[in-house]
Amino acid sequence: MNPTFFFVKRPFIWLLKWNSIGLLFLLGLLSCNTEIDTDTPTAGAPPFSGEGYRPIYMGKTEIQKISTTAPQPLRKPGKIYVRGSYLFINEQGKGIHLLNNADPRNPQKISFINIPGNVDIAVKGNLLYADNGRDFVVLDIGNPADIQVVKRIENAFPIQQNPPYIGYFECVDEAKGVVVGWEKVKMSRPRCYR
Amino acid sequence: MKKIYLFGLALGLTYLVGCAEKSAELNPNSQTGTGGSMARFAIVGNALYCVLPNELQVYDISSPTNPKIANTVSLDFGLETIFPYKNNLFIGANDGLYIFDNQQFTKPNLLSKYTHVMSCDPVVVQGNYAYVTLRGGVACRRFVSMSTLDVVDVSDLKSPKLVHSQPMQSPYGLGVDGTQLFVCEGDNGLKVFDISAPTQPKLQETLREVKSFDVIPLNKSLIVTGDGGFVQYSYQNGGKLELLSKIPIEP
Repeated sequence: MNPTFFFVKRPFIWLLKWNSIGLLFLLGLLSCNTEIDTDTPTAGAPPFSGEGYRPIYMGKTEIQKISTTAPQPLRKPGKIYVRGSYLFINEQGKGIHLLNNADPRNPQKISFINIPGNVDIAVKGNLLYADNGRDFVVLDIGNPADIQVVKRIENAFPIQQNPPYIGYFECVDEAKGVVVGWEKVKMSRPRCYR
Repeated sequence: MKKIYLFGLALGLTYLVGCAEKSAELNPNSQTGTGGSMARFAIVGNALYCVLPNELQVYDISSPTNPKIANTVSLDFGLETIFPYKNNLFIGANDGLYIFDNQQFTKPNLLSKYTHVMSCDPVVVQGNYAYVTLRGGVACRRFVSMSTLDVVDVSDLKSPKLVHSQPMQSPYGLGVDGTQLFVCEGDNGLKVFDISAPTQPKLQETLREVKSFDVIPLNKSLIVTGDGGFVQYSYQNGGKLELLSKIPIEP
């Protein structure tokens, strides 16, 4: 099944089936609205609070720099993952806090793995599978103080076109780099929302 | 030669059975780890599943350092989370819950889709029931502001049925173990439900100060992350949570 086929064909069918109001409703639900007039938002557009999400960009060579450092403070913890007595806490968009949790009363930070753009991981044996921006990487964590990249599959994941939140956001400009995260900031009403 | 073959087969079977059930009583020596209900990645056997917004990617990791795309299943837009349970994959999407049979790890077979209103919806499963949180409001569901905790009867995987729904505040990840269900309510804290009656979750305790996003109940200790930092509790069936440790957020 070709995904492009899905994407192109389905809205086309909807276009035939739905009237324009229905289509607008649908756009509002599913997609980034780039054609909306910034000053007079279309009916159905959510109210704008004065704050929106701004993409955090990073250059491709910078993104691919994976390294191990001393333990770091928890700032914006995301998802968690457990294997044996090891505990992995995602630092949103930055990497992984690696902890020894053999004694849950006294978890010990071991190291921090810098993985720019990281959100998700899975672990089997001594290998950690992670997203690194758009790339899929396999890391050998056998020596937690010196983690090695053993495989990189470039562009395994699609371009992040919108934040993982619903609301207004600055439209993504691929020329600026790869989106590794989003920050909520004060802005004038941007063209994009979801 | 035959003996070696049989031994291999036995090993393989043990492995299969060992992998098949994701339970709270995970073997601490297990090769494969476990994620929370918010996870987009999951490993079962030699398959690594990646949930992308519009498709399920399956990597074959039988050669562990060299993952190869084995399968891609295109689905509608809005896929968010994956929860492997027994021989099935439960995939939470913006408009519903997909149930796959994955007895053949790299060839997940779609059994059914339980459709609900637009929302964000991680899922966990125990026994015959799937617990799904639907987060509404400005964060996920534009036209409906209500958030709910739904219980879906999945005893017939081809025909999941909603059996219970109750309002929530701002639910994110959730976790289930035995008679307790833990629900992260974001800035509104962490909630513990008694599910002695699996279809009637009864609020047992609210820890308002624990701003929570993702949770994993594991070997009677509960691991929680969120804007409240990283917190661990011990829990007993039916009992109150007891704080074990906390790593706070630093500016």
